[in-house]
Amino acid sequence: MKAVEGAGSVEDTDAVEGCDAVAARGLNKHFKAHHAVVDVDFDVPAGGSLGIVGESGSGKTTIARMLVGLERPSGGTITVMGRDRSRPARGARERGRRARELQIVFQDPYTSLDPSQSARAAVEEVLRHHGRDLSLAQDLVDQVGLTERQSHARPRDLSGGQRQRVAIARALAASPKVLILDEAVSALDVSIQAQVLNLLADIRAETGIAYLLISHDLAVVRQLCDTVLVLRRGRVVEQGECDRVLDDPAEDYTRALREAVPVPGWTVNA
Amino acid sequence: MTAPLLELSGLTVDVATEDGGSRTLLDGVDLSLAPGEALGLVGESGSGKSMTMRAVTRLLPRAASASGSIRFEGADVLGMNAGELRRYRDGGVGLVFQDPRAHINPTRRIGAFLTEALVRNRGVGRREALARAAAVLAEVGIDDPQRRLGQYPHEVSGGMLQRVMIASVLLAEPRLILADEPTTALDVTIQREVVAILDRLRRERGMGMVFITHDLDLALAVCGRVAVMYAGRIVELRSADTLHERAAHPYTLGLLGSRPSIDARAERLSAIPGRPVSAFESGPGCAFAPRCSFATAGCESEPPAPTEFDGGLVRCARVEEIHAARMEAKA
Amino acid sequence: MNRTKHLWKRLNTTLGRSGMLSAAFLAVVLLAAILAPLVAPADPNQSSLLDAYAGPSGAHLLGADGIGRDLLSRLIFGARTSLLGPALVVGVSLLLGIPLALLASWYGGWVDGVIARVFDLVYALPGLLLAVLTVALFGPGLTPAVVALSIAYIPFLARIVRAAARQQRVSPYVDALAVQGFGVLRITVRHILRNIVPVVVGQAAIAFGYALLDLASLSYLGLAVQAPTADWGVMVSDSDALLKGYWFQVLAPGLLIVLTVLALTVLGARISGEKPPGYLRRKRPAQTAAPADASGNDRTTVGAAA
Repeated sequence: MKAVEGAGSVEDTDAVEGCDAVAARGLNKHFKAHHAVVDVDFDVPAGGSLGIVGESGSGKTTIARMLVGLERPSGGTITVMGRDRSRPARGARERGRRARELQIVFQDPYTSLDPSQSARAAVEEVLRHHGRDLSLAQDLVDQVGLTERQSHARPRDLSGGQRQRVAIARALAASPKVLILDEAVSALDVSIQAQVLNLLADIRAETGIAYLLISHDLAVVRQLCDTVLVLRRGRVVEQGECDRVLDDPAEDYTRALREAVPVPGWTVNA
Repeated sequence: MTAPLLELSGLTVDVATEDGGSRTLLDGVDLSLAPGEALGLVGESGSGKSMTMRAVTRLLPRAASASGSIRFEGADVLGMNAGELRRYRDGGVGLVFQDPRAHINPTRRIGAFLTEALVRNRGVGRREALARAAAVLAEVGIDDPQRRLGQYPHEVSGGMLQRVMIASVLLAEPRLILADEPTTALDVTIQREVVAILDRLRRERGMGMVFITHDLDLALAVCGRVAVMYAGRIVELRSADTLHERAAHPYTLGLLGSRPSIDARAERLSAIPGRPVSAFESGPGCAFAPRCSFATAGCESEPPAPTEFDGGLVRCARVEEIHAARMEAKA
Repeated sequence: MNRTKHLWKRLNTTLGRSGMLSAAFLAVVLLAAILAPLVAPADPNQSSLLDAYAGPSGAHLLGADGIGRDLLSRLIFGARTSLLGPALVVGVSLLLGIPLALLASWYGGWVDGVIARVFDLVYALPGLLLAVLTVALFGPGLTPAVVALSIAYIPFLARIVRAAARQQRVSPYVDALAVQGFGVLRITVRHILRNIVPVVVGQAAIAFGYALLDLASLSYLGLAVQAPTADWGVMVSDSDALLKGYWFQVLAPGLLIVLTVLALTVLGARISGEKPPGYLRRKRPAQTAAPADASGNDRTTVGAAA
């Protein structure tokens, strides 16, 4: 497997060196009366991997959508690669630059691909848009483990796991420094989930990309992340090193979350 | 051994395709459930676990047809006429679905949903029915049942609605509960509560339960025995408390290795290559052979018969050799 | 060779038998209209009073009308005006309606609200009334009728386009494209519009049929296409023939209108993905008496999952 290195264009070079990949400070989001995200702070170091864990209504997906600019924060700041993105991008140039800093893979492999575009076409469209060499498409397709035939197939002819590989390839085509994985392995069958988790670990080892994994699944977070942030009703419950938080939780909620996961020897009576 | 509550033998389901052909979804499922027993059906997409449940309740899609036999308390389910089928569904088996919101009429109050079957099918008075509904809601751990009866489904949470669903099943006092991924759409903390309720009620009322899930560890916690399904067949059937140590089928072993652990990070997950297939996509031999690292040429051509192994039932031609090799590697 | 065969098979499965039949009929009509000077046996406006109301013969295959014009030739040339009018109506309303619909579906909120209300307002106006008013203001003719109907048909097409585009808009793939930094124009035109083409084409075919009917009605009333020109609507309004008992001269263009509209409606429904009637009554496989099919037990199908 050949790693696809970032082909930084001229405007990328002014990125601030030695800073965190992602930094959020005092992040807030209101939806009318509902306070979805409350004073959330976190950092993802360059090349690091942070898991955001929470149940439904915890605000974890809202955080992801704010980071990629699909929602506008009601308060607080977001910096990615040292550059502020708390406000909507102005102009195509800035949109393009932000795209090359941060990408996202969504949960549902059935709706996150354009139904009329093959993997190859989707990846090439992104490469062209960012002014990158089209020959990289082959490397990307290989890197995510799609066969030649699969790379030319429409999404409806691919399985869930294969589609998620396409989504990963499309995100990597922008050669981002950070990749958000929004429940990206949750909808997959267990045996496929393992393949994709291994693939994601390989990609990180090869490219030094940073991950921000949004998940409800503590075991998946532990497998892929260095640090973890536990979120409940929009607020941070606790955060720290994965090993510390999961093995020796400081908060009751974290402990309850952990104990609710069925493991060998687990019994139903709480 | 008592007479089984539910007995499937050679259950096969084919579905007609548009071009006039047919596709096999279930391929000779044999299963037996004692009264009061909980059995887990575990598998990935296409394994046929949900199709098994639909066949048992005769809720198959229009184009599908079942053969083989399904016996409930000795009665032939596939041969039931409309009246027998109605009695079987109302009081014989109860169904708990994955998504209660899709199975409860959103425009009617919870009270109306719970009492409809009692009033219409059993001639219970409305007041009496509401009293029973309130009692059952309390039994599934819902506070203030009187208020809940007057609420609409959209006014309560998903976890609460799943309890309402369970309550509606209990009202019919079934001897068998079929739960199809009943907690998949719920948060883990809610999952634990709902599973505990199901487990307690099953024991108290002596009901049988078939628990369908993709989560092997969850099935092990809830059930006495677990059947692992692949491509429309049961590939391993084993008691839950020994499955982790004694799992013998390469697919079961693969599933156990695929799941990341919450206790430690694995260097690399031992993923199974390829993707899960349905029965109609598999060749003449063992359906798992193309993904199996132990497979030989013989596996692809000859379908393995289920054999007793190490206290369980395993459908793998090479189970003894594989077991010996694994023991050797461990030693 | 293999490729055309494959394409043919795909066309066959999407359209079904009724759709293929409709497409074939429309192709014949269209071809006749385009090649009218070549296929028509005579000049449609050449009258010879000696042949007035002549029956079918070697000289006039379908007979002649009240002033001895060849009926077949008039039907063939009539297809030109009869098809050109609706084509203009549908073309103009798509040109105006699609951008509005995409705009509404992309931005949502008040933009969507305003556009949707305007559509509702226009939808509430009967197209024919609008056309009659326009003709009253600007005088009779094909142009004012087409302009009026084009406006009246915008909501009919745009509402469907808006709903389909809205469905695409909320798909995560559109979010993914936005995160890649693609602009609104590119996402809506290259991705969203491309994915709803079947819906647009299907609805356009149905609209085409209705427009044909409306224009024929206007021509019948003498408000659109004017008398000497060969046009199906004008030919249906030949009251002189009816009074004298020559019904075929009126029935033939009428039948063509009905068949064309029917074919367009069927084809439109098939293209936009509607299944033909009877689709659910699939033939059972040969080995009947499958136990699960007995006694109507399977009416309570549940959800979609499996």
